[in-house]
Amino acid sequence: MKRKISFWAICVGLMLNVLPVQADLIWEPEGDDFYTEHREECEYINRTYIANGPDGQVMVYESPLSREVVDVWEKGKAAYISFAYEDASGVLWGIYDSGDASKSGWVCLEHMARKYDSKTFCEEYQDQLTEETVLVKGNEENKVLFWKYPGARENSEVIIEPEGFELHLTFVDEEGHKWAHVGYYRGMKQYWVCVDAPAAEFETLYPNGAVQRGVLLAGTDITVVEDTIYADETEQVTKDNETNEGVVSGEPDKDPNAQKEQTTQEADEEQVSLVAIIIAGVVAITSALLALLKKSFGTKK
Amino acid sequence: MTQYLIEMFGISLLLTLLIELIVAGLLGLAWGKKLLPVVLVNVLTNPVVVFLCWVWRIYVPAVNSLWIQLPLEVVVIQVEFSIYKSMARSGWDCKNPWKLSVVANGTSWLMGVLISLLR
Repeated sequence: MKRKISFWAICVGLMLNVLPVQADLIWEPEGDDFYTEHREECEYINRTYIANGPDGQVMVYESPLSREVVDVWEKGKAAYISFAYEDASGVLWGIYDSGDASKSGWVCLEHMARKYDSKTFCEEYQDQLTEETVLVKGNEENKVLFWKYPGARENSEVIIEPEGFELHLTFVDEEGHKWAHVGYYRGMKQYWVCVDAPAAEFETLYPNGAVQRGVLLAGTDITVVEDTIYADETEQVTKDNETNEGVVSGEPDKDPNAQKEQTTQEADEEQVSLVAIIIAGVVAITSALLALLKKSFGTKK
Repeated sequence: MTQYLIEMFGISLLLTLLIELIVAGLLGLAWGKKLLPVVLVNVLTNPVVVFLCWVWRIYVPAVNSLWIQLPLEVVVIQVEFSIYKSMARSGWDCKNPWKLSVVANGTSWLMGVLISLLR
């Protein structure tokens, strides 16, 4: 009996230990009825996307099946998408939680471009990453600059402990600078630091410009993943392998709105009215035929 | 969109007709002209039901369309029963219009639910 109690006590203890960890790792949207209903069909994607819809706008819908627009985003707006849902037509939708329920909802991910970040960098340069331990120390003020990826333009300044900290994954960039990956440090997740010059600014590290990773989204200074760009009628600035300066290219892609219209049940009020009129006609004709049929039965009798 | 609507209305009507005609046959109605009222009654009611369910899905997507399907099905059973009864009074050879309406509509609705679950 005691053994059984011990066994279950260990199980409960392990479960109590595991549950908070899970809750900490995956944040789930709250208060969204569609997500609650389709939770099992949603995939955890945990990425930041940039609005890049046709006509420079992205509609935020109440749900992937709803026509109600709760917000409209201008091109370039960054949004964290935690979960994605694929509808019956194969269109991928992402849930966005702004903290304000009236402005939260679902966006078509075909109209969003994935932001180039540390995770994307790790995926792209996987075979050039080396497992080695390096010690990172700050400057005389213990300052270290954290970058989203080697060659990114923006950084965050972090004051670290005087003795520094160890990192275990490195990358040597095209200029010969050694970088180390920061999984987590004092609330900062998924960053890179330059081991050779931890406090050096972009211009010091790359006086001639860095290699462009990802693609500069046309009309913005945001770098996104190339194959997630929705190419509308405007030209896109695409990747130049040598320098930071983009080149212009871009073939007009098909409009996902048109594609969606053909494949989903979405319809405007005009179409609903038209269908209603056709059905009213069918009802009238069938009623007349039924009346005639009834009469024919009566005649025979 | 047009293709989607034709598929939605067309497939629904064809499946309903197929199922209800089989049920009518099994309930003793002879094949041929005697099944014409069953065909016309379904052409009358099915598009209306499909249309209302479609509009419901568009404008009230958060609420499961089952909530409109069930009351609509009850109305359809009543309407079809009234028409069958009226036809039977005029000489149509249908001994039990109530049974025909309930069994045929019940079967076609259940088959519809089953098909949508299997898809």
